[in-house]
Amino acid sequence: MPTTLNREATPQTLLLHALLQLSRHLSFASFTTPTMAKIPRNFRLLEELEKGEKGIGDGSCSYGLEDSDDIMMSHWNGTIIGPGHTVHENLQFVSRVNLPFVSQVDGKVDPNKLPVLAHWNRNHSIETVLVEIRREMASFNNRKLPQPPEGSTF
Amino acid sequence: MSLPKRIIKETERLVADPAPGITAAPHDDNLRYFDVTIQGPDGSPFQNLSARRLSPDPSQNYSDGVFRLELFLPEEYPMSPPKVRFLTKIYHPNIDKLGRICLDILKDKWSPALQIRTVLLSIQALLSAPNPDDPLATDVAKHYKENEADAQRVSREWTEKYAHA
Repeated sequence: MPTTLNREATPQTLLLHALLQLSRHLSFASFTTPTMAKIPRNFRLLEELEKGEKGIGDGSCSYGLEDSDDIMMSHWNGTIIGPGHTVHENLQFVSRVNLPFVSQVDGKVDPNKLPVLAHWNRNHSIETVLVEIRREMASFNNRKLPQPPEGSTF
Repeated sequence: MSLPKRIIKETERLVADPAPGITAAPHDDNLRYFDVTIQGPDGSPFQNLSARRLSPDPSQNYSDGVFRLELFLPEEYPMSPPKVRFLTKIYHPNIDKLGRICLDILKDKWSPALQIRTVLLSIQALLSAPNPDDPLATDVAKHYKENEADAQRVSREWTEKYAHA
Protein backbone atom coordinates (compact mmCIF):
# COMPACT_ATOMS: atom_id res chain seq x y z
CA MET A 1 0.00 0.00 0.00
CA PRO A 2 1.70 3.24 -1.07
CA THR A 3 1.86 6.02 1.48
CA THR A 4 3.36 8.61 -0.82
CA LEU A 5 2.36 8.95 -4.41
CA ASN A 6 4.08 9.71 -7.63
CA ARG A 7 2.31 12.55 -9.40
CA GLU A 8 3.68 11.61 -12.84
CA ALA A 9 2.46 8.08 -12.49
CA THR A 10 -1.09 9.12 -11.67
CA PRO A 11 -1.59 12.53 -13.31
CA GLN A 12 -5.36 12.68 -13.15
CA THR A 13 -6.21 11.12 -9.89
CA LEU A 14 -6.78 11.99 -6.34
CA LEU A 15 -5.87 9.38 -3.84
CA LEU A 16 -7.52 9.40 -0.50
CA HIS A 17 -5.88 7.26 2.08
CA ALA A 18 -8.12 6.10 4.82
CA LEU A 19 -7.36 4.08 7.89
CA LEU A 20 -9.98 1.60 8.83
CA GLN A 21 -10.12 0.15 12.28
CA LEU A 22 -12.24 -2.93 12.81
CA SER A 23 -13.50 -4.02 16.16
CA ARG A 24 -12.54 -7.52 17.27
CA HIS A 25 -16.19 -8.14 17.83
CA LEU A 26 -17.38 -6.22 14.80
CA SER A 27 -20.75 -7.53 14.05
CA PHE A 28 -20.57 -8.95 10.62
CA ALA A 29 -22.57 -11.41 12.67
CA SER A 30 -25.63 -9.37 13.47
CA PHE A 31 -27.83 -11.04 10.97
CA THR A 32 -27.72 -14.22 9.01
CA THR A 33 -30.03 -16.30 6.91
CA PRO A 34 -31.13 -19.24 9.05
CA THR A 35 -30.06 -22.04 6.72
CA MET A 36 -26.62 -20.71 5.73
CA ALA A 37 -23.40 -21.23 7.62
CA LYS A 38 -22.35 -18.02 9.38
CA ILE A 39 -18.78 -17.15 8.34
CA PRO A 40 -16.76 -16.05 11.40
CA ARG A 41 -15.20 -12.57 11.33
CA ASN A 42 -11.61 -13.75 10.83
CA PHE A 43 -12.32 -16.08 7.91
CA ARG A 44 -14.49 -13.42 6.30
CA LEU A 45 -11.63 -10.88 6.63
CA LEU A 46 -9.13 -13.39 5.15
CA GLU A 47 -11.42 -13.64 2.11
CA GLU A 48 -11.61 -9.86 1.82
CA LEU A 49 -7.83 -9.59 2.16
CA GLU A 50 -7.27 -12.10 -0.64
CA LYS A 51 -9.71 -10.20 -2.83
CA GLY A 52 -8.02 -6.90 -1.98
CA GLU A 53 -4.57 -8.31 -2.77
CA LYS A 54 -5.76 -9.41 -6.22
CA GLY A 55 -7.28 -5.98 -6.91
CA ILE A 56 -10.94 -5.33 -7.37
CA GLY A 57 -13.22 -3.90 -10.03
CA ASP A 58 -11.84 -1.01 -12.08
CA GLY A 59 -9.08 -0.29 -9.56
CA SER A 60 -10.72 2.89 -8.25
CA CYS A 61 -10.70 1.50 -4.71
CA SER A 62 -8.13 -0.72 -3.04
CA TYR A 63 -7.34 -1.85 0.46
CA GLY A 64 -5.02 -4.04 2.51
CA LEU A 65 -3.70 -4.61 6.02
CA GLU A 66 -1.80 -1.70 7.54
CA ASP A 67 0.62 -4.16 9.15
CA SER A 68 1.11 -7.59 7.55
CA ASP A 69 1.75 -9.02 11.05
CA ASP A 70 -1.67 -7.98 12.38
CA ILE A 71 -2.99 -11.46 13.14
CA MET A 72 -6.39 -10.12 14.30
CA MET A 73 -6.64 -8.07 11.05
CA SER A 74 -7.94 -4.97 12.86
CA HIS A 75 -6.13 -2.13 11.04
CA TRP A 76 -6.53 -1.57 7.31
CA ASN A 77 -5.43 0.99 4.73
CA GLY A 78 -7.81 2.03 2.00
CA THR A 79 -7.12 4.02 -1.16
CA ILE A 80 -9.76 5.75 -3.28
CA ILE A 81 -9.00 7.25 -6.67
CA GLY A 82 -11.14 10.39 -6.95
CA PRO A 83 -14.02 10.20 -9.41
CA GLY A 84 -13.58 12.12 -12.67
CA HIS A 85 -15.29 15.46 -13.44
CA THR A 86 -15.42 16.47 -9.77
CA VAL A 87 -13.19 18.71 -7.65
CA HIS A 88 -11.57 15.50 -6.51
CA GLU A 89 -10.06 15.05 -9.95
CA ASN A 90 -6.59 16.49 -10.71
CA LEU A 91 -5.78 16.66 -7.03
CA GLN A 92 -3.47 14.50 -5.10
CA PHE A 93 -3.37 14.30 -1.35
CA VAL A 94 -3.04 11.95 1.51
CA SER A 95 -6.01 11.84 3.82
CA ARG A 96 -7.12 15.46 4.29
CA VAL A 97 -10.50 15.94 2.62
CA ASN A 98 -13.61 18.10 3.04
CA LEU A 99 -16.73 15.95 3.04
CA PRO A 100 -19.79 16.30 5.28
CA PHE A 101 -19.24 12.93 7.00
CA VAL A 102 -15.52 13.52 7.68
CA SER A 103 -14.48 15.34 10.87
CA GLN A 104 -12.28 18.32 9.96
CA VAL A 105 -10.48 17.90 13.28
CA ASP A 106 -9.11 14.38 12.98
CA GLY A 107 -10.37 13.02 9.67
CA LYS A 108 -12.58 10.43 11.30
CA VAL A 109 -15.70 9.33 9.45
CA ASP A 110 -18.88 9.87 11.46
CA PRO A 111 -20.73 6.57 11.08
CA ASN A 112 -24.09 8.27 11.63
CA LYS A 113 -23.58 10.45 8.57
CA LEU A 114 -22.51 7.72 6.17
CA PRO A 115 -25.49 5.47 5.37
CA VAL A 116 -23.39 2.33 4.72
CA LEU A 117 -22.03 2.53 8.29
CA ALA A 118 -25.25 3.79 9.90
CA HIS A 119 -27.14 0.81 8.50
CA TRP A 120 -24.39 -1.79 8.76
CA ASN A 121 -25.05 -5.44 8.05
CA ARG A 122 -22.82 -8.46 7.61
CA ASN A 123 -23.21 -8.50 3.85
CA HIS A 124 -21.28 -5.25 3.64
CA SER A 125 -17.51 -5.37 3.23
CA ILE A 126 -14.49 -3.09 3.33
CA GLU A 127 -14.90 -2.76 -0.43
CA THR A 128 -18.54 -1.65 0.01
CA VAL A 129 -17.43 1.09 2.40
CA LEU A 130 -14.75 2.45 0.04
CA VAL A 131 -17.04 2.31 -2.99
CA GLU A 132 -19.78 4.14 -1.04
CA ILE A 133 -17.34 6.86 0.11
CA ARG A 134 -16.25 7.29 -3.50
CA ARG A 135 -19.89 7.53 -4.60
CA GLU A 136 -20.43 10.25 -1.96
CA MET A 137 -17.46 12.18 -3.38
CA ALA A 138 -19.15 12.17 -6.80
CA SER A 139 -22.60 13.13 -5.49
CA PHE A 140 -24.23 16.42 -6.53
CA ASN A 141 -23.76 18.02 -3.10
CA ASN A 142 -20.14 17.00 -2.61
CA ARG A 143 -18.54 17.04 -6.04
CA LYS A 144 -17.68 20.77 -5.95
CA LEU A 145 -16.90 21.24 -2.25
CA PRO A 146 -13.79 23.37 -1.62
CA GLN A 147 -10.88 21.09 -0.75
CA PRO A 148 -7.77 21.60 1.41
CA PRO A 149 -4.45 22.14 -0.40
CA GLU A 150 -2.96 19.03 -1.91
CA GLY A 151 -0.49 17.08 0.17
CA SER A 152 -2.03 17.96 3.53
CA THR A 153 -2.81 15.32 6.10
CA PHE A 154 -4.90 15.15 9.22
CA MET B 1 -29.82 -23.43 12.21
CA SER B 2 -29.91 -27.11 11.40
CA LEU B 3 -26.52 -28.76 11.46
CA PRO B 4 -25.77 -31.74 9.19
CA LYS B 5 -25.66 -35.05 11.05
CA ARG B 6 -22.07 -35.65 9.92
CA ILE B 7 -20.88 -32.47 11.68
CA ILE B 8 -22.74 -33.41 14.87
CA LYS B 9 -21.12 -36.89 14.84
CA GLU B 10 -17.63 -35.52 14.22
CA THR B 11 -18.03 -32.96 16.99
CA GLU B 12 -19.24 -35.55 19.50
CA ARG B 13 -16.26 -37.78 18.78
CA LEU B 14 -13.77 -34.88 18.91
CA VAL B 15 -14.99 -33.96 22.38
CA ALA B 16 -15.48 -37.49 23.77
CA ASP B 17 -12.41 -39.13 22.24
CA PRO B 18 -9.87 -36.42 21.37
CA ALA B 19 -6.73 -37.21 19.39
CA PRO B 20 -3.55 -37.05 21.56
CA GLY B 21 -2.31 -33.48 21.94
CA ILE B 22 -5.30 -31.98 20.14
CA THR B 23 -8.45 -30.27 21.43
CA ALA B 24 -11.34 -28.86 19.41
CA ALA B 25 -14.46 -27.24 20.84
CA PRO B 26 -17.27 -25.55 18.90
CA HIS B 27 -18.43 -22.02 19.73
CA ASP B 28 -21.81 -21.91 21.49
CA ASP B 29 -23.20 -19.41 18.99
CA ASN B 30 -21.73 -21.04 15.86
CA LEU B 31 -21.39 -24.80 15.82
CA ARG B 32 -19.36 -24.69 12.57
CA TYR B 33 -16.66 -22.58 14.24
CA PHE B 34 -14.12 -24.35 16.48
CA ASP B 35 -11.46 -23.26 18.94
CA VAL B 36 -8.55 -25.64 18.46
CA THR B 37 -5.30 -26.31 20.32
CA ILE B 38 -2.45 -28.42 18.99
CA GLN B 39 0.58 -29.45 21.03
CA GLY B 40 3.90 -29.22 19.23
CA PRO B 41 5.15 -32.78 18.59
CA ASP B 42 7.94 -34.18 20.79
CA GLY B 43 11.37 -33.72 19.29
CA SER B 44 10.23 -30.85 17.04
CA PRO B 45 11.24 -27.19 17.53
CA PHE B 46 7.59 -26.56 18.35
CA GLN B 47 7.74 -28.50 21.60
CA ASN B 48 8.28 -26.01 24.41
CA LEU B 49 11.02 -27.73 26.39
CA SER B 50 11.83 -24.82 28.68
CA ALA B 51 8.31 -24.67 30.11
CA ARG B 52 8.57 -28.35 31.01
CA ARG B 53 12.02 -27.97 32.59
CA LEU B 54 11.34 -24.75 34.46
CA SER B 55 7.95 -25.52 35.89
CA PRO B 56 8.23 -26.32 39.64
CA ASP B 57 4.73 -27.78 39.58
CA PRO B 58 4.57 -31.09 37.66
CA SER B 59 0.90 -30.51 36.85
CA GLN B 60 2.03 -27.52 34.77
CA ASN B 61 3.92 -29.77 32.37
CA TYR B 62 1.06 -29.68 29.88
CA SER B 63 1.97 -26.09 29.12
CA ASP B 64 4.69 -27.04 26.64
CA GLY B 65 4.26 -25.72 23.11
CA VAL B 66 0.52 -25.28 22.80
CA PHE B 67 -0.64 -23.54 19.63
CA ARG B 68 -4.09 -21.99 19.28
CA LEU B 69 -5.95 -22.31 15.97
CA GLU B 70 -9.41 -21.59 14.62
CA LEU B 71 -11.36 -23.84 12.25
CA PHE B 72 -14.51 -23.20 10.24
CA LEU B 73 -16.69 -25.66 8.35
CA PRO B 74 -18.10 -23.80 5.33
CA GLU B 75 -21.62 -24.35 4.02
CA GLU B 76 -20.28 -26.83 1.43
CA TYR B 77 -18.44 -29.04 3.97
CA PRO B 78 -17.66 -31.95 3.53
CA MET B 79 -17.61 -31.33 -0.23
CA SER B 80 -15.21 -28.44 0.49
CA PRO B 81 -12.38 -28.60 3.05
CA PRO B 82 -12.50 -26.88 6.44
CA LYS B 83 -10.82 -23.48 6.74
CA VAL B 84 -8.08 -23.47 9.37
CA ARG B 85 -5.48 -20.99 10.57
CA PHE B 86 -3.05 -20.54 13.47
CA LEU B 87 -3.81 -17.78 15.97
CA THR B 88 -0.47 -18.33 17.75
CA LYS B 89 2.56 -16.89 15.97
CA ILE B 90 4.78 -19.66 14.61
CA TYR B 91 8.08 -19.73 12.68
CA HIS B 92 7.40 -22.43 10.10
CA PRO B 93 8.01 -22.47 6.31
CA ASN B 94 4.46 -23.59 5.49
CA ILE B 95 2.62 -21.17 7.79
CA ASP B 96 2.52 -17.43 7.05
CA LYS B 97 2.39 -14.33 9.25
CA LEU B 98 -1.39 -14.42 9.40
CA GLY B 99 -1.40 -18.09 10.42
CA ARG B 100 -2.54 -19.36 7.02
CA ILE B 101 -1.43 -22.94 6.35
CA CYS B 102 -0.06 -24.42 3.12
CA LEU B 103 -1.21 -28.04 3.21
CA ASP B 104 -2.41 -30.02 0.17
CA ILE B 105 -5.38 -31.65 1.91
CA LEU B 106 -6.75 -28.18 2.75
CA LYS B 107 -6.72 -27.38 -0.96
CA ASP B 108 -6.63 -29.61 -4.06
CA LYS B 109 -6.02 -32.90 -2.20
CA TRP B 110 -9.14 -32.55 -0.05
CA SER B 111 -11.49 -35.53 -0.02
CA PRO B 112 -14.89 -35.75 1.72
CA ALA B 113 -13.56 -38.95 3.33
CA LEU B 114 -11.23 -36.79 5.44
CA GLN B 115 -12.47 -35.30 8.71
CA ILE B 116 -11.74 -32.51 11.16
CA ARG B 117 -9.69 -35.03 13.16
CA THR B 118 -7.54 -36.07 10.19
CA VAL B 119 -7.00 -32.43 9.22
CA LEU B 120 -5.78 -31.52 12.70
CA LEU B 121 -3.52 -34.61 12.87
CA SER B 122 -2.04 -33.61 9.47
CA ILE B 123 -1.34 -30.10 10.76
CA GLN B 124 0.34 -31.58 13.84
CA ALA B 125 2.44 -33.79 11.53
CA LEU B 126 3.37 -30.73 9.45
CA LEU B 127 5.01 -29.32 12.60
CA SER B 128 7.28 -32.40 12.73
CA ALA B 129 8.01 -32.30 9.01
CA PRO B 130 8.28 -28.75 7.62
CA ASN B 131 8.41 -28.71 3.83
CA PRO B 132 10.57 -25.77 2.69
CA ASP B 133 10.22 -26.86 -0.97
CA ASP B 134 6.54 -25.85 -0.95
CA PRO B 135 6.77 -22.66 1.08
CA LEU B 136 4.16 -20.14 2.12
CA ALA B 137 6.50 -18.04 4.25
CA THR B 138 9.31 -17.67 1.69
CA ASP B 139 11.77 -15.97 4.07
CA VAL B 140 11.34 -18.75 6.66
CA ALA B 141 11.68 -21.43 3.95
CA LYS B 142 14.90 -19.83 2.70
CA HIS B 143 16.24 -19.84 6.26
CA TYR B 144 15.31 -23.54 6.65
CA LYS B 145 17.02 -24.46 3.37
CA GLU B 146 20.20 -22.48 3.98
CA ASN B 147 20.74 -23.23 7.66
CA GLU B 148 18.29 -25.69 9.12
CA ALA B 149 19.83 -25.73 12.60
CA ASP B 150 19.69 -21.95 12.92
CA ALA B 151 16.12 -21.84 11.56
CA GLN B 152 15.08 -24.47 14.11
CA ARG B 153 16.66 -22.34 16.83
CA VAL B 154 14.42 -19.41 15.81
CA SER B 155 11.39 -21.74 15.69
CA ARG B 156 12.19 -22.85 19.25
CA GLU B 157 12.53 -19.22 20.37
CA TRP B 158 9.14 -18.34 18.93
CA THR B 159 7.58 -21.43 20.53
CA GLU B 160 8.90 -20.38 23.95
CA LYS B 161 7.78 -16.80 23.42
CA TYR B 162 4.29 -17.31 22.00
CA ALA B 163 3.02 -20.88 22.43
CA HIS B 164 1.61 -20.99 25.93
CA ALA B 165 -1.44 -22.91 27.07
